Amino acid sequence: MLDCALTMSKMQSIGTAESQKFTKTLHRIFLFLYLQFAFYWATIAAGMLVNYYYVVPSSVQSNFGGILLQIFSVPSLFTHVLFAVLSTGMSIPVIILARTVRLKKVILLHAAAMTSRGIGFVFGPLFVYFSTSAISDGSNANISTFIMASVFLVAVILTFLSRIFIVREDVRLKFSVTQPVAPITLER
Amino acid sequence: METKQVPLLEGEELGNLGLAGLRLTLKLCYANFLLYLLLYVTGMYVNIFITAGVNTITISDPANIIHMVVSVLNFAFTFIVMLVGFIYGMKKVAKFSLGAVVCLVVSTVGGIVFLITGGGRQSGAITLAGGWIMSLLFMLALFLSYYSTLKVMRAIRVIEATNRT
Repeated sequence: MLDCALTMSKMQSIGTAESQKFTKTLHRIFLFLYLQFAFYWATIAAGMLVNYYYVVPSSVQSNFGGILLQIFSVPSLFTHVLFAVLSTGMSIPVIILARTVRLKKVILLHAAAMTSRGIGFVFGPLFVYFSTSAISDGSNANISTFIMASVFLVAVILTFLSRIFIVREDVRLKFSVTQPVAPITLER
Repeated sequence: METKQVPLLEGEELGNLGLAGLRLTLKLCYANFLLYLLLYVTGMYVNIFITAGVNTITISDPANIIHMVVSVLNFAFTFIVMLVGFIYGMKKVAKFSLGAVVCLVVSTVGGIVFLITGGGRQSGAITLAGGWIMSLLFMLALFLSYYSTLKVMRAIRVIEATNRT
């Protein structure tokens, strides 16, 4: 009976250590999510700069190289793309950490958010492409911008949802581990 | 064999609204997110398809009316969540929502400045400043509302986990 009590106590201490590790991982995910939200906000701010002050110059060529060069040569456009990449990139450590604690829904939501941002990364350059003087298709340029902006908010909402699942897990863990351990009566 | 007592509810903000009330508040928060989404989409529509860089927009434009009606509802929902936080002792919910309410009020002022000073991106620096304030504070309000939603959700989960009502 004494052995049994000792084994249970040992199991509980292992369980507590594991759950502490789990909690630490969740808090690391929280940190990356804070960073991601800051980068989202910066993306919006830089996007506003592009939206208000940037007009595609007539010298831009309507090919991949020309558009890429344009992104790197205009500070507001470059900042916007940089923050977009950084905010999307923050999903990678979140996915890696979520894998270690087997949070499947968080992994799926961040994968979906990255896919959504991927669509934005296609339609952003398409806006520049349709706005070049060689193509000059205003209506498709508008549609491209609208799609880019819409998938951005979809990604924001998906990452928001992921945090809801992390909080759920955090609460579940806290209250399943720290519940008072029922006293074991030792009989001889 | 001793029992390890850990202060379970330390740091948790449950308030005194009760589980049913909190669930209702959470539904309101989710509805508010739909409004934020609608506000963003209508705003982007106006920005891209109506003003399109050079054109202006007036207050009576149908797209603008929809945008403004949604923003009024969005403000009302956020305000109710803030009141719930203040009345039922959930300080963080109240503070985050208060921040969101202030952001929404100031961004509305920014939007009105944008409209009355020309309503186009080429209408001058004040018009652009109005647009800047509107857009940036909208995003900040969204984040603040999100954090207050998380606090409400956490309170529900904690109450469920500790079998309170």
